[in-house]
Amino acid sequence: MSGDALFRRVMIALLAIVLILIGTLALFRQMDGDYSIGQAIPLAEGFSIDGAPVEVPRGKCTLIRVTSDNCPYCQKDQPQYKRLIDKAKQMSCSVVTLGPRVGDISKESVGDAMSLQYVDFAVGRALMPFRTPQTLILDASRGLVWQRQGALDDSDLGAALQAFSLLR
Amino acid sequence: MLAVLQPFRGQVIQNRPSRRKGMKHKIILGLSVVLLLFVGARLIVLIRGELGRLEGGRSLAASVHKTGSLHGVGPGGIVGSGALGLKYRVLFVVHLSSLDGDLKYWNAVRKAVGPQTSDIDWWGICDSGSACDAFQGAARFSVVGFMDPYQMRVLSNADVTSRVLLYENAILFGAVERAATSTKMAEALVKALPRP
Repeated sequence: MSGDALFRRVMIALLAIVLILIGTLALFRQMDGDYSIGQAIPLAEGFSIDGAPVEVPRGKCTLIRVTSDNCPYCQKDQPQYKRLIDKAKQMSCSVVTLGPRVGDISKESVGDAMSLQYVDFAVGRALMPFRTPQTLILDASRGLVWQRQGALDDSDLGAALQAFSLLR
Repeated sequence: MLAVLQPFRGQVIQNRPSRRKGMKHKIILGLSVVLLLFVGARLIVLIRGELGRLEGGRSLAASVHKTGSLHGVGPGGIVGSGALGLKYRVLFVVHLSSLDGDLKYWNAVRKAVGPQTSDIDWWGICDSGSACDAFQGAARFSVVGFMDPYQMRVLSNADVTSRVLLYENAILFGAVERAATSTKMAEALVKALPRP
């Protein structure tokens, strides 16, 4: 076998391996988040902690925070999360706090912010509320554009702000 | 002298592109190996993370999922666990697309189970929020449109496999597959309930 032919074969083999690995990575990335970008999270209405009806306005976007009062990581990333809230408000987007289970959030901790404790079946099917905190950004059609499960760090904040800037 | 160099001249002219090609091949090969190593290392990190998460997921399923969060909002406002002092709670999904059929089915199931145990609180969770509220009068069970995200997710998982969730107080103790007929469903539920 000539040198060129051998080189071609080695290159084809390497390319195949790289493609397989990239495919596996993509699969893991999909598994990693539990959510998939673009999926609908139809958060339109629900009820607050005290059973009052809440309507989530359909704005340019919606920032959702799944949080719990007794979760230490939910307090740890408050500086980053507050910057996201500022950005969302600057863009006239809705900001919604969600308690995964009854008793996870209190009226005192939520304050004046829009909060939901009871959601409908479609939202329950779309959310993965088994760990806190979770931060999700939805576009105007309530499709997921960005999400992070766990406390936000500065690189997450950068990515989230970029996701906001890409919204039309 | 020229005659002596003549053969080498030809060889040099032929070898130059070949050497350049060889260099190019080496560079591409080197880059490919580096890329392969990078992707491989990243994959190993991800697999380790995923295995850790699977381990965590197992303990999550074993502990957290068993405890229900039985609070909801129906046409009459908030309904909560233990409000009626009943021991068992049966949670099932009623679908707006087949609401009439679901109402008849679950009313019949309740009627069939009724004489054998009255210690059950029946909750039909509407798959379309408050759209089923108007049917509360016709239903022999509590119509619930909203629950907390956690419980809705657990119900959604059960609904995918057409299962009905059984709780004793707030502890999940069974998931029974929805039977084709209300009689069979009632039998399956009675069988699943713990013997006194």
